[in-house]
Amino acid sequence: MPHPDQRYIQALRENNPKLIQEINQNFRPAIIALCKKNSGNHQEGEDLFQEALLAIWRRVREQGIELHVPFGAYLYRVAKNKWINILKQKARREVTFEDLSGYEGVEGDSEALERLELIERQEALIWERFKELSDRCQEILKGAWSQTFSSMESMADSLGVSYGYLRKKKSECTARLMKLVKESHSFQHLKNG
Amino acid sequence: MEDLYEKIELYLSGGLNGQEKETFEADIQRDSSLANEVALYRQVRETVSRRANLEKEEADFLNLLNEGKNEDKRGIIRDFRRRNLLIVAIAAGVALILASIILLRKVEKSGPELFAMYVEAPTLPNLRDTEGGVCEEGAVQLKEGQYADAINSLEQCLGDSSKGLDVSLALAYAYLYVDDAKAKELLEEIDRKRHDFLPTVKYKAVWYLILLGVKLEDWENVNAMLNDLLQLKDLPLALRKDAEVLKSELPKN
Repeated sequence: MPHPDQRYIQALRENNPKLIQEINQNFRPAIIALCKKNSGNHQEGEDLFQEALLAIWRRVREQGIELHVPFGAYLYRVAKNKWINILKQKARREVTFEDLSGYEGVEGDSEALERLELIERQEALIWERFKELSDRCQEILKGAWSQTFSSMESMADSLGVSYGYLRKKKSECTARLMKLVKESHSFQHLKNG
Repeated sequence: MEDLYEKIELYLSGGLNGQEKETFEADIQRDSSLANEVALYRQVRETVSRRANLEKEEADFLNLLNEGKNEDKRGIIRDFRRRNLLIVAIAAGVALILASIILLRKVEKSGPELFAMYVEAPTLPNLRDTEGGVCEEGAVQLKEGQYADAINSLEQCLGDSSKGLDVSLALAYAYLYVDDAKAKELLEEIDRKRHDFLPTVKYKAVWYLILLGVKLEDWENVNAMLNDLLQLKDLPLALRKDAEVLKSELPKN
């Protein structure tokens, strides 16, 4: 049976403004405090809260979440792992983490969460590299992969280019993106665990 | 490499026919680096597809989230403003009280000012000259504010015993401007005497004693004497009125 805080998950699914504001009010201070207590500042805490909540929002959208722990504990766990990774990237070493949340032990299935978060980090990195492409490349790959168009021919028509140009350009953009991802030190690190 | 990605794209999008697909899958089984390429390509493709589809909704969600934050901040600002308003109100209240105190202090008159407002020369109806005109002269000098001369004249006048209390009161009045201690001595002397037949002189002497206290700002004694005076049933109405008004004008502290 889902936790009563499942209503927050539902709110994220439905973009319920009232409950999203409630999430803001109830849980943001703890995430900012987490960040500030562990070498971060207020603004980084704000960003961390947004990133963590956005990650949960994506999970809700893409695969759904059935919450068995308090929402605060779940959010805290996501934020904490994100912040540890940020600290690791900054320091390039293991970091110690001071936890004052009181959520330890109520975070749910840690292993499953860690797997999920690894995938999310990989995807975040792919998206970052994608954003480094030219606007034209982004437009073409989005069009080609997000099933906006029924075919490459209709996409070429819509973009006002020839099919041949689009096909060639798409190949170049794909190769460029794959190269960027492969060359990313972080991605190699993520792949190797 | 671009050709490889085109082939992977065709494979993932279902663009390879049966034979081509089987061959490619066999290659993947055999070649781990190809398998890795296909896996990575699939992940990149799916990520871009999902993120692209969510991009608009994500922007909407972030707007909503930031609106919430702003609302929260607006709440904080409202609280801050409310707090500030309260502080301003308290400050204004304190300022008003202080201003009132300052104003009241300004409105409140000093002892000498009150003395000057209330003190009046006694009437001297019986001062008919029998001693070379000094009594009348003293009365005129008193009226004209020539107090030192008046004291001189009135002390000579006092030699005539028939003019005792009236002249003593006039003399004490003159001393109020010249010598406080002497005035007090004379007034207390009049107060001690029995003069049932001239109660108004006694009351006037007490009144002058009160005014002397006012002049010296001896407020505690002034208050006590005024209270005693106002308890007298046969106090002349005009004097009672003066005493009541003076009492209301005394400094509050």
